Amino acid sequence: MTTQTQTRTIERRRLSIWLAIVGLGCAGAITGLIAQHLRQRLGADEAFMALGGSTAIWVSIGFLLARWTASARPTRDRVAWVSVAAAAYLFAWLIAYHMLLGHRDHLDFAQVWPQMRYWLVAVAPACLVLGYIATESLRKDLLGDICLALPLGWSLSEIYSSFRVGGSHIAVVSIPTLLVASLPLLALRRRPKWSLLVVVAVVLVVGVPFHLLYPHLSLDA
Amino acid sequence: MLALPPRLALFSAAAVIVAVSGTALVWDGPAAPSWSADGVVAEYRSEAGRLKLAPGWSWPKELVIDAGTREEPMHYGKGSGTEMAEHRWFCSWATRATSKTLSPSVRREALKRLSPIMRDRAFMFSRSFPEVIVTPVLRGDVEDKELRDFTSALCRTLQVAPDSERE
Repeated sequence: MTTQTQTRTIERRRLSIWLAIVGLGCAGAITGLIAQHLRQRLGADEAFMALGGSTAIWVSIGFLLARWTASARPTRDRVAWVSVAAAAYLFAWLIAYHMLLGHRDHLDFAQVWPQMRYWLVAVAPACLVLGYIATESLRKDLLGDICLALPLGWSLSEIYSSFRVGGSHIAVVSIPTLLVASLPLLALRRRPKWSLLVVVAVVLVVGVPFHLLYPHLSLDA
Repeated sequence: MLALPPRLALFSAAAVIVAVSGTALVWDGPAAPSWSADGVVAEYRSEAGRLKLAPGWSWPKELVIDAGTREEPMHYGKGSGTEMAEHRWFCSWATRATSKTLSPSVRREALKRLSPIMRDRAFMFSRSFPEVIVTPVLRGDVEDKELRDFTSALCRTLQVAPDSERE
């Protein structure tokens, strides 16, 4: 490879990661707007309101996008770059969600900030976790299996809580959350049978304590 | 950042993330706008002029709001006056809707009065009124037990009553 070709390849890689970060930011903003729009559908659609204010499904979408970013990245500093992309998604989701809330209800920034700030604090550690597990979920070993199971683990509480409410909550919250969180498990198709046991164990080990600690986790809490 | 060396760009991006999360951790945000007692009264009157009460109810001619002292004046959050007026308006129609002495058609008509504003101003009502109340209102369910219990408890707590029961 000539020096000129190498330079072009490096520049293309740099551009691709920045495009991925901007893309995840845009995706986060769109999910935030959709979530707030659902959150404000009052009346007969309280299941949609619960979906809009929920966290698991939106974070799982972020995980899927981060995993896709990781698969398209070269290995150098991959976890760090994917974490930055995950942060772009999470910040955009939270800011868009709360800004639309403020806009539609004529609230000042001072009234929205107290609700939004603690979620923004959580982004710094959360993006590292999301970046790490999204990247490591590409591995075809025990660690990869564990990382693939984590979205279902953190979603288990919301799936179960909505299932207990029953009615439309099952169709609108439980099933979509279950489907999105299960999508990474498609990667297990060519893995040995015991991988499935690992997934079940991880889902229970993560999901049950998470449910006991945060049984009603919501963006409006 | 696009032109920066990769590591430097990465550290810059990390610094931005830490800065945003750190700011959220330590900064309480700008002071929320607040009203004096006069501001609350003005807000109340403005909202009262927009809302129609149920038959047998009227807006109080005098509104007593604690102004505090000259040294320590009271401050009220923006929207306090509006919320007070909306509580009275809610009590007027919800009391009518859950009354056991009126016909079901009259009660359903009363409940219909509540639904447009509760639908349009979702946030304020989700804060002032729990969802278990908003839902039967929007569904027009006058037999809902929680709506009746909530209306009774709220209006008793706020000492909001129709003209016939006021001293």
